[in-house]
Amino acid sequence: MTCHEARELFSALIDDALGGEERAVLDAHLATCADCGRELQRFRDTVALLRAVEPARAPAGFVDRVLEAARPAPWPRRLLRALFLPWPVKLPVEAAAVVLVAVGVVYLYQATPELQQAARLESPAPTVAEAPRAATPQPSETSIEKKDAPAPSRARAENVQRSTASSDTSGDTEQRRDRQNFQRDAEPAPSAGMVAGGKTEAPPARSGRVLDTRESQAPAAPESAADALKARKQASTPPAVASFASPDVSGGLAVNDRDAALRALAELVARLGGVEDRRVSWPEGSIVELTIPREAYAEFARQLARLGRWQPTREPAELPARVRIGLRITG
Amino acid sequence: MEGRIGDDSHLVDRLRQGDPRAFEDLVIAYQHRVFGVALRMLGSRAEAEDLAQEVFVRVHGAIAEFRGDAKLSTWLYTIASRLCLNRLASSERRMVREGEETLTRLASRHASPAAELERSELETALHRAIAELPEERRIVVVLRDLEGLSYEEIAAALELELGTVRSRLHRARMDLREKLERFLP
Repeated sequence: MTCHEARELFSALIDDALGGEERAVLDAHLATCADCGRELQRFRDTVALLRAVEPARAPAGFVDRVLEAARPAPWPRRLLRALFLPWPVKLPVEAAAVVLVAVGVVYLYQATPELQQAARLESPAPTVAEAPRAATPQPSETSIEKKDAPAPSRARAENVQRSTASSDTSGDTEQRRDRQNFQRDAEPAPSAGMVAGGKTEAPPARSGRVLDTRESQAPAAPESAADALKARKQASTPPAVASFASPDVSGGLAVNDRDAALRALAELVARLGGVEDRRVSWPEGSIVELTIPREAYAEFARQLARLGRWQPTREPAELPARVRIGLRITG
Repeated sequence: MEGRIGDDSHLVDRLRQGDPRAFEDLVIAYQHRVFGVALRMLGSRAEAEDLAQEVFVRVHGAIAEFRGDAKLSTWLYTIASRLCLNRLASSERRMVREGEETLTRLASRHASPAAELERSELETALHRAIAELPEERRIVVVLRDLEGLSYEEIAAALELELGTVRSRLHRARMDLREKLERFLP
């Protein structure tokens, strides 16, 4: 073996990649050639230098950039991920928030009509005033409903219909409510019983019962006449709760002396040719529903501002000929 | 995770099963090695990062095609090596044109303290010597002496005969020995 041939095997020798025969021949040469021995040592030192090179390190944030590049999720998915991940944490919180909002909406939805209903129970007159107005929008439907009202199946149908109406927040809600008012008025027994019994409950409790009634009654068929009557009685409950027809204008009036303000209001309404439809008072405030002619509304609003701090919550630009106004008077 | 080459069978199983965290684990485990190969081959950290990212993106897209008859690490080195060589071959850039700037930057981490001056000089010389190797030899010596791959793994990654790997490695080391003469004891 020449020195050149021997040195060609140095790499393989260092890496222990020589065959047995090659290795033996090389070893024999190295044993007799000092130059190749020194050269082998320098070769080993060179490789040792290379292997001592500090490993390179990827720059900070490299993994994140790779993940972003490798999985470029479309923006809706990234948004959803941001909203819901980690789902074990965010999902329960969001579900709780949804339930909370739903409960709040139901409560608020029920609260105001409930107060209006309380006013109605105390004052017998508005029923008369309300009936013609409520009957006007849907004469054909109400006549059909009146005709079929006693049948148990009809009670179920009404129940479903009322559930739909009460959960509907679109523009025809008012018409549906008016129709329900008429239905209730056309069925005096259950309503009268309720009035006579003086069943005025706190809003949350009643709304809870109403929901229960809807859930349990809607799918079940009454089995007897008594059940049918009971079902109809229960079916009549939702419109009683939701009997309030939304006023055209509503708002709060904060006054110093509520009794004086109520008296002044009554005088004002009378002077402007209007009529006070309902009034209910409780320790914290009063609800007054009244109707005045459209041409008198501007004057009414001016005078109202003199009575106290008038904060309208609903005051459309277009008003009907007869403006229905709901006032919440506190003070 | 960041050792030379470990047992990746579990990671491969998770990748095949579509475990969303598996790919992230793969990147974490191999980021420095893939980046290191790219850096030694291309010389520029920015370019190396760009290429290393491309390697992982390709791996992500082709993970279903990984047959498992080679080691996961070998597969990664295969992709990294090919991309490096392709980029070097296709672009007009050459390490020599990067000049002193790149080589100085590579060694600059240790340049400031006086005590490390000598080491810095050695490192600069080392990187320069590696950078000046012909590409086909450079990739072999990088995979063998810097990344620790076996001859067989290098042959598989570069699709070369074992004898070719052996001879290229030897030529590369001989070049380096001459260039690093003054640093040898």
